[in-house]
Amino acid sequence: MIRPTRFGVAFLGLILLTLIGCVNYGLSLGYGLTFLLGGVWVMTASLATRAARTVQVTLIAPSQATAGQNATFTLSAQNSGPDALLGVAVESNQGQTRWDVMRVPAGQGGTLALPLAARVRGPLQLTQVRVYALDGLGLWRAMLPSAAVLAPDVVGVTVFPAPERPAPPAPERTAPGTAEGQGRTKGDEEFAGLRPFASGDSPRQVSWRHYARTGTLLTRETDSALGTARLLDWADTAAAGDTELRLSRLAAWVQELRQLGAPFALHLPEKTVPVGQGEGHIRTALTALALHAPLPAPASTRKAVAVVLDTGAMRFTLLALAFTLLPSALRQPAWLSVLIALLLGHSVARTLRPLGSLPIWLLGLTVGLAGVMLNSEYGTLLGRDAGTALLALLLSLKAAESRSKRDGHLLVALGLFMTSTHFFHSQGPIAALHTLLSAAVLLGAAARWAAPGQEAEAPARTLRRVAGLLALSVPVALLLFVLFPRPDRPLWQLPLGGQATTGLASEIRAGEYGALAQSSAVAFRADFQGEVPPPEQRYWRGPVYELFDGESWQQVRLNGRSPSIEPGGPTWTYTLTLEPSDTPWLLALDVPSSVPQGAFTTTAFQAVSMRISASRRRVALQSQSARLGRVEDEGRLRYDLSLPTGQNPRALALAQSWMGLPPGERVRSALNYLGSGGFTYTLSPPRLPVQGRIDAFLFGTKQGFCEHYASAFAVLMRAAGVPARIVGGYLGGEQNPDGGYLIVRQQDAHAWTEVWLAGQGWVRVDPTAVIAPARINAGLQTALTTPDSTAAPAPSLLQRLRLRVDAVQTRWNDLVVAYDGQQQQQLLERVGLGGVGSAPYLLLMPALLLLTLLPAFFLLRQRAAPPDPAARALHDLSLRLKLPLLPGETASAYAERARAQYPTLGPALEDVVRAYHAARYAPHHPDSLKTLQSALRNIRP
Amino acid sequence: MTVAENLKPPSAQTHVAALKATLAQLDSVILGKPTQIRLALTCLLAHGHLLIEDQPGVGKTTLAQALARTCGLHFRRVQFTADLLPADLTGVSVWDAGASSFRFHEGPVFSEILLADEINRATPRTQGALLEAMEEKQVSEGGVTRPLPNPFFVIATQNPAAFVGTSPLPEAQLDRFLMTVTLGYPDPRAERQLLESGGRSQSVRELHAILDAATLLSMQREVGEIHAAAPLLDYLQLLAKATREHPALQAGLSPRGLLALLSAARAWAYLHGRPMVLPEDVQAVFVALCSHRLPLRDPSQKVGAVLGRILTETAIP
Repeated sequence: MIRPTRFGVAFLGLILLTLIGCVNYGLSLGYGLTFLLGGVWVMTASLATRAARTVQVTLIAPSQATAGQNATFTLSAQNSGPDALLGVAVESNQGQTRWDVMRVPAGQGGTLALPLAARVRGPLQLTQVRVYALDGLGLWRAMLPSAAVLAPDVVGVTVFPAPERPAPPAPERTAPGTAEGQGRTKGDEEFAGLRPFASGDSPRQVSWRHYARTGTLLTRETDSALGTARLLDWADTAAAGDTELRLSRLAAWVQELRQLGAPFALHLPEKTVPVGQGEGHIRTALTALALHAPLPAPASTRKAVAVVLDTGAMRFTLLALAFTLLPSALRQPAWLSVLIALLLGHSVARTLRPLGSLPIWLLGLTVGLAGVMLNSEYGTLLGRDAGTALLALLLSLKAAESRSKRDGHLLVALGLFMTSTHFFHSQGPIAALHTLLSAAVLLGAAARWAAPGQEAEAPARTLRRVAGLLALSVPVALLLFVLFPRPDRPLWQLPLGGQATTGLASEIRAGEYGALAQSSAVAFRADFQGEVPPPEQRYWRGPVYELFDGESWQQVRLNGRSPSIEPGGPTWTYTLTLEPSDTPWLLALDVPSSVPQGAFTTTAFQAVSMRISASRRRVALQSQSARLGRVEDEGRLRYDLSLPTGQNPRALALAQSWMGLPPGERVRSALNYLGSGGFTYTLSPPRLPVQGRIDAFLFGTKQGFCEHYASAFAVLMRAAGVPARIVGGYLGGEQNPDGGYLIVRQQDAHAWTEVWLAGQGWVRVDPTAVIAPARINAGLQTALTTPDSTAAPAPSLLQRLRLRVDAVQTRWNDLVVAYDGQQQQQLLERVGLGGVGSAPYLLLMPALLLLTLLPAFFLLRQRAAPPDPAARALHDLSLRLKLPLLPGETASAYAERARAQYPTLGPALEDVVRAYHAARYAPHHPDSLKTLQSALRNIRP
Repeated sequence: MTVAENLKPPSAQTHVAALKATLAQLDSVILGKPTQIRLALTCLLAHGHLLIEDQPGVGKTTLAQALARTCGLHFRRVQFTADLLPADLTGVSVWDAGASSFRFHEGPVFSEILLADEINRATPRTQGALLEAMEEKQVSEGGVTRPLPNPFFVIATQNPAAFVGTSPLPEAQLDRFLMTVTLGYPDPRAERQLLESGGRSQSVRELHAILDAATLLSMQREVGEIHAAAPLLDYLQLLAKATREHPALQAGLSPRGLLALLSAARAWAYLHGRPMVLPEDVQAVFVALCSHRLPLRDPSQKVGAVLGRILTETAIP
């Protein structure tokens, strides 16, 4: 019978809690952690079950016990399997319960002393004995089958009364009938009688006279006088007090006479112990005293047992927690990190020397103050960042006031929960590794709590065992990770809290793109099916800005006819992996021809998704070059000619001068003007005034970047009567040679213009290309240093390394982090399973689950392999022959048994046994092991 | 050619052959008792004394005599009775009028193999004298200490303790014996052979010596050099631990008992021509060595069965 311990139930609760969290926040790696813990939960159950099958215990009562002292019962355990942990619960009839844990090493035995308080005289019995096999982590306990617990029905001992101390000497009273030498004992002094002859009697003892007379052989018996025996009388103890004190005094006298080695008799009101001496007699006398009626009732005072903190386990737990909390230190405010470090440090110090624990009021005060400070820092206590920071604080406060095993378990569970919260911030490979390690050390801490101090093992051994356990849990975790249904939408929406992301804004203000250009954060990655478009075509279309108020460009929603699209040219099929942003924009290659479900294309040809994604998302897109809006809404065209009145007179005047030219020539003139006007490309242009910005730029500073040029050009065009608008987005992207995909960073943000020419529709014009062609062909960095370069320089070693790391990360993101319901559906369809709810899925899932548990099952069935190479070789042979070695079986006996089963192997087995003996038991010889191995190779069953 | 045989010095090779011949001769006289014969010889090789616990008439004396003759040792037999005095055993000084001095008449204990029949019939005093001689290998009489011959090997027999009129040996003295052997009834085939040959005393008297005292002494020396590897010592310790923790046993094997177990296992290995001790050597002598040393909690159980269970349950490391 197996059931989870209280910690086990809490652990299950933790698993469910993290699972709900993962569903709600779509944390793919969180699922992984949850399933790994779930695997551990299942594996430990099988460990406990197995341990219950391999352990046999025997309960031994102490030979004697005295009231007021401990009676030490002994539990002796034999273990034929790997290391096992036993929990023993006993209850005595004197009202004491005890819970102890012992470790029984693999293939060996062990004993556990169970000192039970013998409070009063009389029988002390174990009324209840339960022996459980525990798994290493203390999550489960499996009751040992009753056949494995060897104990008499009632294990008990008679508790002798405690001798009075100091006691008056025993009275000089002789036992009646012993004073004059009337008592006899075996001896050789005087004739005592005749008995029938027994073979072996000395002929000297035979009564020949009797034989002569009757013909029967009789042997003479002799004896000698018994010395004067003392009498211990109940009546003499009247002065002592009540019954118990009188019995104590008698017990003290018995002990006194035992020292003297004198014979005595004991007279109690209802029982008389005749004269005798020796240990057996003393036992009889003390037993009579112990069982003298009425038996006292054990005092029912339930003494509070002082809880001793297992300092080793506590220290281990604290270090594991510190490791778990490490990444939070990078995110939370520094004062909080210091506070947490101080609290944990104090707790560690508490395990090293007897320090008082911090007073509760101080802890409470800390919580209050820190809560207020956190609230002012984050504006809330419930958001993601504030919440995790608060949790970290509470965890360290709990550690500061922990004093019991239950606290330790709580710390472990909270620590595991804390581990899963790190996925809010990062789901990269390093975060995953950290989580795995944290889980391992926290489970190690649980293992430390499961076995008390004296039964603890070396930390390295604990960690090795936990690592093994995790490894066993990996298959089931992997399976669940892939096949466990992934809901696409949260169970309920929870606030995530503000997360500052860099990226394109819904309006263009001065310097917006300059700030973006400083950031090398990844905006998105694009993985193309087939060829990657050349650099000059890598325009990633974002928001389209059409409203200009003199200071900023903004998006507008214009109702009207949808513009026409006439596709022509190559089609690009690709997948975008968008980093989290606050916008619904899908940065499609100019221009999107097909968008996934849940997205649409605006009338300004921008791909937009229905919802804002706070997490990384993948979308499949198609783009194709096309003639855009040859048929365009008149209202929009009119709108795209509007300019704020009364501003930038010089620019307007310049544009008016081109009015005579056809529209295409006007565009060329404006570009010529920019190209030959002494303009320079820089990311740190001088500040422009709020009023007349375009004039100030065109005729004053003449320094700027894409945003400035696009803005000035659009204004010039509008003034010259050509409808124009600004398109924001990204330009370029770094091709990763390792992954074959493009990385587009925030620094690739770009703004260009589109002008509408009759008969051609919207035509892309990038004025920046005139100033710094390198920006289009090579990228921002090249454009800043050598604006006229036409290709990017070869990447440096460092860059290449960075690209390689990025490739790994991208694969990780694609395979692990971005794995969601959609991908799951695709995968299931590809292997032909239909969907999550389909019949084949429902049939296959349990079968696969059983399959993943199978290796663990076989591994657990095996006995621990011996460490000695020769012994291991024999062990391996026994596995190969499918004939297990018995515990007390010698190699020769085993070979004999194996030969009975495989008669053809006889001579080969003989060789093996000889080589085994030489390798194992003969004086060391360097070749002996090789001989054994070659002998083993000859065995082919 | 095995590694094992390479390791043997040349003298050991001849000794092995001699031992084989010895065993063959003994087997031909005492029928159907190969194990007991080997245990007895092991005991002799390991400097120990043998206690045979059995009923009269199963061949105790024959075994002792055959052993003595085959080993070429001087043999005497003493029937222990209740009135046997220590001096009857060790010898007595008598006044020699001619030399006008005391002359020591050596008792039966001055022999190389002594068969002490029914040792539990004698008084504890006489038992004590014998056991002292066994332990010290010398006899003190009249202020003079006389060494006993070397080799000195005592085979004591005792009736099962339940018989009336016996003084059972105390545990401390039982410890002086290396092994206890029960002969038991011969199996039907051996018994039939016995009947057909018409008694065996004749053939015992016709036995010729194969070994001699000097050879035996050098063999005893060689026994001490038999290799006991670390895993074997581990096994011995595990066995000792198992006896100490076994619920059916009052006490476990003492360190002296453990040493005895090792030397007996060495002798057994030597007897079987092995240069190293194997776990099966330990197992072979374990029951014979422990059965009189380990008292049971519950006398109704059989000590042999308990020890057998320990052997099958204790893992060989």
